[in-house]
Parts: sequence; structure tokens; C-alpha cells
Amino acid sequence: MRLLLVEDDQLLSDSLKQDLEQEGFAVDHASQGVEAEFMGDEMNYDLIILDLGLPQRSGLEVLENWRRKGIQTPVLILTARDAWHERVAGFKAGADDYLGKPFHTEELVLRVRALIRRSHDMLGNRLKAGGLELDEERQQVILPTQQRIELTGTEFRLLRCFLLNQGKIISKTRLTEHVYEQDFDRDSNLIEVYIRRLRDKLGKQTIETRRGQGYVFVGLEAG
Amino acid sequence: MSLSDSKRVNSLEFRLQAGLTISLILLIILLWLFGAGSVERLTEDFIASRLEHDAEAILGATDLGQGVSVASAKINQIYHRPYSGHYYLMLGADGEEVASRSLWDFKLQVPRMPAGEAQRYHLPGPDGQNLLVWTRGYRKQGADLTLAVAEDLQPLKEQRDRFLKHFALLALAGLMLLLILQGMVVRGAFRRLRPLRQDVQNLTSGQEQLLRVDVPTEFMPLVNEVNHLLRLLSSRNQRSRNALGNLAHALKGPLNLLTRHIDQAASQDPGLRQAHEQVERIRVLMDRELRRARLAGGKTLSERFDARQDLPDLLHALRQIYRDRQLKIDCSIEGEPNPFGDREDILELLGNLLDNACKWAHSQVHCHVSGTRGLRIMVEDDGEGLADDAIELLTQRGRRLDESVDGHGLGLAIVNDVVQLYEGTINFERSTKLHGLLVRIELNPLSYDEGRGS
Repeated sequence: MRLLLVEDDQLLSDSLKQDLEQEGFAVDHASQGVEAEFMGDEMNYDLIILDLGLPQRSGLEVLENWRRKGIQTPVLILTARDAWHERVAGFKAGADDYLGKPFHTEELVLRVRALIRRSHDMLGNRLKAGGLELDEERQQVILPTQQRIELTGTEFRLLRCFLLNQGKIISKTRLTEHVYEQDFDRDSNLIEVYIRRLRDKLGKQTIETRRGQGYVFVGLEAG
Repeated sequence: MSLSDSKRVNSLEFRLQAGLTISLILLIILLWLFGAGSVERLTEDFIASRLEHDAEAILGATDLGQGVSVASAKINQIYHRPYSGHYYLMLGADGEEVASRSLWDFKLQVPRMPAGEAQRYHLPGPDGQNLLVWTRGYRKQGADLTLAVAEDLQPLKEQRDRFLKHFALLALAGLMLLLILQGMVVRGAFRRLRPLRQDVQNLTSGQEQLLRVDVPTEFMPLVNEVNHLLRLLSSRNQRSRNALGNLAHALKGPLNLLTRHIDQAASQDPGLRQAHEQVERIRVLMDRELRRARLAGGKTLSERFDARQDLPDLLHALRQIYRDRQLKIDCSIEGEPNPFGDREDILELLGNLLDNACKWAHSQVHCHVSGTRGLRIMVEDDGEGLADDAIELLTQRGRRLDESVDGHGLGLAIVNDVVQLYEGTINFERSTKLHGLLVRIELNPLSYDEGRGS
């Protein structure tokens, strides 16, 4: 899962980035409006965390521009301006959620997870697909037998991406984008290694390879 | 009585009327005096010149043969009819007197005049007549004569008095007419000020932001001054609100880092619980005070709350916030509520109220807005509601909401602040329809409006 964090307070954004990465998200950071808008235009993010009081171009304007261009990425507004008229304006501009500062990191993470599940049409507050359930707190996968299997950071990120996109073909490039940081050395062979490890843990049939296209998560039940 | 009197004296219309009345009366009196004087002088001059001509004729008819005699056939017959009002008296050099027959037995006392000198004066005549006498001394055939010719002024005086009376009546009628006309003109002029008054009333009730400048020229400076003041007030208000927003923004950043830091540290060191609580307290206090400071009240020029437009936006926001809980949030607007109060205030009130309801609701929140002059709001949910004693507690007057009920705390405290600011009332009860909490709020139109009557 790749997030864009738009926040002009360097201290806050550094610590927030760290927290979100610990939760298994790849995080890009922008500190001013024009840059943020460009990044949101160019990159297919799973979620954008947007501060409103930005230099150069206000967050609200950036959000309106995205929505006008048809970019439907879920946006969570994170701002100190949390009076109700400001919230109303935020939602009207196309925000999906709104969190006032100061906030607790746990609350932000919960909301980010919920928004991502929601954007993949997953109801309820659990990440479940193809007979597997992901415990996002502990980074474990729960089998139908209630057996829990530990996952490494990268395995967790990969599996979350698969669970959210069950039945869809995901290209190797996209997987790389969603698993690693911007400046990480993208060696696609590494992805293959991690997929093999997942197959070892969950069974070979859960992830199918489509030659030249990518991978499809079919789940445990599928033939 | 004295109040209404002083009010009358202060009225512009009264002052204009009084000024006009006094100046007109003065003018009429002057005209009257001048007219009366002129008429009198004119008639007397006219009569005197006639008397002079008559004197010439009488002198021509005078024969100094044996004593003094006047040939009566040669002069006007009016001098022969007794008390006709036309008289003459001739005084000879040696004390002889020849009087006209018209004098009958009346003695006219006139002084002798040296030849060539003339005099004009008034004397009482017979039968209560008022005579104008013209006397002149002559020298005829070597004898000194004094001739006095007189005419009764009474009939002329009566005519003149009639004229002056008519003049006075006419002037009085003219004065009345002028005053009535002026009254109409003045009232007409003041009627043009009525839109201005309406504007000022709209201003206080918040339907208008500035006064219209379509007013009589005399009032333009006043209107401009008021508008200038209004703009100044509004921009000052906006500035202080912006400053508060910026302050909130600036304070919340560091506080956020502090919260995060203590959140992390507290999980390892339970001793930091105290610090954690204190940070939380600062957060709540700051939030509350900033929100309260941001409230504007309805007496500013800011944007008004328009239920038809703002309520759907607010509901959209709430549905997004509570999307995962699948709440049914709906709202009904009764009639056509006028734009009311300050948009940010009312949104803050409704937002907190509905947010609170959403937090406690199982599946349904309903909101009802009505009122054309004030604003009536009703919000109910299908949650647990409050226990009866808690409702009683909330209903107690003057109780701070945040002190009274847990959970319903901060949001309702802001609600209460707004209600107080708008001098409204708030009531809590159990919803009969949804069985949760029902909050009824009534915000009054501003106090100026109430005084206006209907």
C-alpha cells in the first residue's frame, strides 16, 4: 500500500512517516501544495493524507483539482482547522475522512486502514478475502482454522495488497510500487522471492502467476 | 407629556414647519403694515390734490367787491348740501369769514396763513366726521385771504379698512395652504428615508450587509459613514477570527508532537500517565476555548446560515464520517427559513449536535429545522438516550454541560455556548419516535428585531 503524506511541518511529517512505515505502508512525502498535486496526479496512490494549511497552494484547492481531474484516490484530511464549517468545506471538496489535530497516531492508522478497505469495497472493520484474514495490528495472517501465521514486513505488505485486490491481476511493477519506498532499489526478482515464500506458507494455489501480466490472488477456496 | 413635547421639538418636520410659519407671519405683517401705510398716504395725497383744485375753483369764484363773497353757482354743488363731507372756509383780511353752506352751523377752527403758504392737517368735523383740511394763504386784489378746504375721510377710511381686512384674511388662508403643502412635501421627503430604515433593520437582523446608497443627498455622508464603519467592523472581526485560526494551527503542531511522544513513552513507562493526562487536558481546553473564541454571534456582517444550502452539505460530511456504521441520517426543513445568524456558528452548533447524536445512535439520526425569523432545531437519535435524572440535571438552569454528563461532554458544551450567544433555549428529553435523546434548540431572532413589533 502506497500512501502520499502531504504535511508541511517537517517534525510531524518525519515522525508520522516513520509510524506509517512501521504499519507496513510505503510512504511518499510532499511538503507543499503544487508538489503534492503533481505527485497525486502522477502516481497511483492507495491513499493520500492531506494537510490543509500548505504553502504555495492550499490543501483544499489541491483536493478540488484532483477531483476535477477525476482522481478518485481516497483522501484523509489531517488538519488543525477542524471547525465544522471547515470540515463541511473539506468533505464538499471531495475528502473521504477528516481528522483534527492534535490526534493520536493509533486513531490515524485505524482510519487509514478503514479508508483503504472501504476503497476496495470491503465492508466491516476486518481485512478478509479468499478465506484468509489479515491481523493488521500483529501483522499475522489467520487461516480458516484460526491458526495464525507470522509474516515478515514485506510478506505482510504483499499479502495485504493481494487481499484487497482479490481476483484482479496485479503487475509486478505495481506490487513493487506498493511494497517499497520511492527510493528503494526496485529489483523485481525480490518480489518473486517473496511470492514464493507466501506460497510456501499459504499453499501454492492461492497466488497464480499470469505470464507476462503479473499475479492473481485467488484465495484458499478456489479450485 | 414632556417626553412627547421634547420629541416633537426634536422632529425635523416640526422644526421646518415652525420656521416656515414664523417667517411667513413676519413677512405678512410687514406687507400688511407697508400696504396699510401706502394706501393711507396715497388716498390722502389724492384727496389733497383734489382739495387743491377745488380751492382754485373757489378762489376763482370769490368776489372781493363788497366784503368777501363766493359765487355759489360757480363751484361744485356738493359744497351747498349740509354735512355733505365737503367744506370750505374763507377768512378775509379784516376778520370776515365765509363758510360753505354745507358746514351749516359747525364752526371750523383754522389758523390764518400768510400768503403763499399751505398746510395740511386733520380736524374733527360735524357729525363725528374726520376731516382732511387743506389751508393756504392767498393775496387777491391786494387783500390777504386764507382759504381752508376740507373733505371727510370716513368713507375712504372704511373702504381702506375693508381692504386691509380682506388682505389679512387672504394672507391667513395662504399661510394655511402653504403650511399644508410644505407638510406634504416634507413628509414626502421623509418617506424616501423609509428604505434606509428598513435597511438598518435588515442589518441588525442580518439579512443585509451594507446600507444601500440610494438615499437623498443630505443623508449620503451619514450612510457612507455607517457603511465605512460596518466594513471596518467586519474586517476587524474577520482578522481576529483568522488570527485565532492561525494560532490554533500553530499551537496544534507542537502539541501533536508532544501527544505522539508521550503516547509512545507512556506505553513503556506507566509513570508518564500523569503527563499524558495533562496533555490531553491542554488539548481539550485549547479546543474548547478556541472554538468558543471563534463564535461570532449574529451581529456581524459575516455569511448567514442558509438551511437549504448548508444543511445538505453538513449531512454529506456526517455521512462520510460515519460511513462505516451505515447510519441513516436524515433531515427535514419546514417552510423557508430565512438566512440566520453566523454560518460558522450555526454549522458548529449543528455539527456538534448531529455528531453527538451519530456517536450514540444505533442506526438512525433525525434532524428537523424550522422557523422563519428565529431558528428551531430538533435532533433525535435511536441510541440509549439519557437517564431521566441526567435529563433533569441538564435541564437545570445555568449548569455547565461539560461538567454534568460524561460522553456528551465537549460537543454539547460548544452547543450550549452558541445557544447562550444567541439568547436561545436548549431542552433535553426522550425521543418518543426514536427512543433516544432528543435535543430541542430554539434560537431567537436578535433582540433588535423583537423591539420592532409587527
